[in-house]
Amino acid sequence: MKSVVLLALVVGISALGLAQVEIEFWHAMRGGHLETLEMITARFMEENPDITVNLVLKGGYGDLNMALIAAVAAGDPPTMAQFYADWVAAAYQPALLPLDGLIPEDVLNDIPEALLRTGIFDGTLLTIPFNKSTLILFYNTDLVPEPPTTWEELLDRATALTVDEDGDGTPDRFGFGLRPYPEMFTFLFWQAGGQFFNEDMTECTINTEAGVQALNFLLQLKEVSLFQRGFLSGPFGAGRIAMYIGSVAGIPFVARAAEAGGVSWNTAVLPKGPVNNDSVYMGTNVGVFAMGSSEEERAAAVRYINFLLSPWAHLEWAKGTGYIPFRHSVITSAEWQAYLAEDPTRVAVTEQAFHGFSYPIHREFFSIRGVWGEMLEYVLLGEMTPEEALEWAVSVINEEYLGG
Amino acid sequence: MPKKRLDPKLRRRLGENVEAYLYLLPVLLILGMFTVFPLFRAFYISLFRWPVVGEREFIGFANYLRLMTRDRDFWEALRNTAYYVAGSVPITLVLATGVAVLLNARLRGRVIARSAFFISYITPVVAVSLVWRWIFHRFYGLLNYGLDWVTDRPPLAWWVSFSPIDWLNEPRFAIPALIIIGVWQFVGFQAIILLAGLQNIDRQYYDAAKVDGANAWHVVRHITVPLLTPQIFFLLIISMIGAFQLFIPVFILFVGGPGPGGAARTIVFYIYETAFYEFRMGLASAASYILFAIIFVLTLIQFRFSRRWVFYGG
Repeated sequence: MKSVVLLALVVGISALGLAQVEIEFWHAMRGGHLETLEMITARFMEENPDITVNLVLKGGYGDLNMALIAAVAAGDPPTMAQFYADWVAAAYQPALLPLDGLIPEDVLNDIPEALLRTGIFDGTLLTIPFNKSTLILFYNTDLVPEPPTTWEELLDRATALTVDEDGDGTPDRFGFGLRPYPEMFTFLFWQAGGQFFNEDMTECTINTEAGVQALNFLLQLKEVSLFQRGFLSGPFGAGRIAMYIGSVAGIPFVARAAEAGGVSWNTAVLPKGPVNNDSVYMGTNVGVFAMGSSEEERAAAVRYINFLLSPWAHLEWAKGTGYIPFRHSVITSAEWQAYLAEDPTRVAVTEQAFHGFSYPIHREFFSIRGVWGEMLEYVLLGEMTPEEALEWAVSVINEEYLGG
Repeated sequence: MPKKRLDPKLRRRLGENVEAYLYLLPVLLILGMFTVFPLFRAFYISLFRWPVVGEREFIGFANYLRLMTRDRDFWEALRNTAYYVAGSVPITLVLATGVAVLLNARLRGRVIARSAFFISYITPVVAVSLVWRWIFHRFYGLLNYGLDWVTDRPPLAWWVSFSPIDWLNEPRFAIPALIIIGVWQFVGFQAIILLAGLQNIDRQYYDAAKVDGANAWHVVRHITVPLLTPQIFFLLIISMIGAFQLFIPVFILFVGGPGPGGAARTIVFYIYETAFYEFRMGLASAASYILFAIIFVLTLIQFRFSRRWVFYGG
């Protein structure tokens, strides 16, 4: 007993003796995501007793961004935060710590290149992928025994499954659910072989055959879709739509809605377009502020990021949150495979994680993406033909945002 | 030489004033810090290219010039906002006047009715907007259900046939949807203000009119409405200012976006996007000042015209 007390005393004193560093991590992870982050962070602090990580929940992403703007304006940002790529390109780039050489090469090589690119700004690595999501197909397994694997199959299934039982002109069940947001266009455009910009990003190049193909496909799909602005997990869980394409971040919501509605479901990789079945990587990265932080704080933050990328933390993060695992060695590990055997809805997520593209990085990307979204709506609402809409979008983007 | 002393009366008055200013100090500090300072600061920022981090560049009135000459979204936002103001302000006022007259009548249950009308005003806008998002749903919404029910029965069924309106997904219904929410929300508040005005009208006027043989229309036209003009004018001004600043219902109804094809992008929404998503603080500040100028000029015009029609009693 005596020796245990002595040991505790020695450990306690030596821990105190180490220089304590405290870092702040501003994030927007709530509910179950926060619990997982707290669990991982607690383990990090256990292993690194000289570092204290204060997790500060700032609310939603919009709130986080506004808090960051204010903090940066005051010259006193947190040590690290979550960032969307377009925030960094448009605002925070000059204030961030370059991470080149601070993350081991073998770790970087273990991450899909398209995903890693979301953190590289003007050739410098500034942020590291953190909570990444991608699009997948959700399908009602009672109605769709085998998920569609091509655009044509998707359209055929959706058409067959759209039924108006009471004959009032409004389908009681739709084959598909369609929410108008830019990614519904961009991933189809990419699957049709499109490129968003020319090489030096002075021109938007969506006005091509791939663009027309993507928009025409969406128009056909809309005919057999529940078309709404709100999230689709609710109607899907209630059995009102048989399939929809949405973010993996929606899995917990679908699970809850489907349980309430007594619907059985699964996920599948995206149906293949003319060229590929890639999805778009979404979600945020983490980065460290060089502004207003000491060398010790920066070093501590880098150590914490490396811990987040470690196999154990990465696995726990993906398991606990539903975000995609993106380290190749983790996905192929026995632990992850064992986990997949328990949860079949994550099988497709894992496969899709390696079939993705990311948007090019540009200061005006928020506005450009907004124009794509408006273009999509004009087409889906029948106000413009696909050709007209593409031409309109390209001229607006080139003139207003790419300085043409 | 004897020391010059302050007149005791003056000294007392000075002391009282100092005390009064001390009481006012906290509120002056808060107003100064959070209202007056940002007011001037925003104007200062509007003269710069003002990124979140990095060099700030003085560019004079270039932000204003850009907004006035070549900013597609800003003009669209101006048009949308003008449409909303032109729709919501008069409709609300007319309906509120009707409601006020009804609430003023000796009808059964009017106490409950007064509270009921006021509830829409004190309910948080976010909650209200969320509920309306359901009401407006194309397939499952109460509004389309109600319209369908009404048009399915005589007499309306003889003339019209109704197909569900896609309130939240069709650009041409975006602003009307916002107007419906706005009207619903503010009718109660305006009716209460007008009711107070109605109850202040001296009964003598009505008695005198009756003696002179005026009919109900004459009474409304020549007594009630003229004596209610101060309240109507007050409501006109504040509702116009409020309508120009529409933001929250847009944000909630259209799930954080500017509505279908940008059809619900109001000026304040534009300012929000420009500042916090495009990180152009200078441009957003300039847009705020243009909004301020528009409201200011319109208010001045209304005050000028008010001399012709507002009647401040005898």
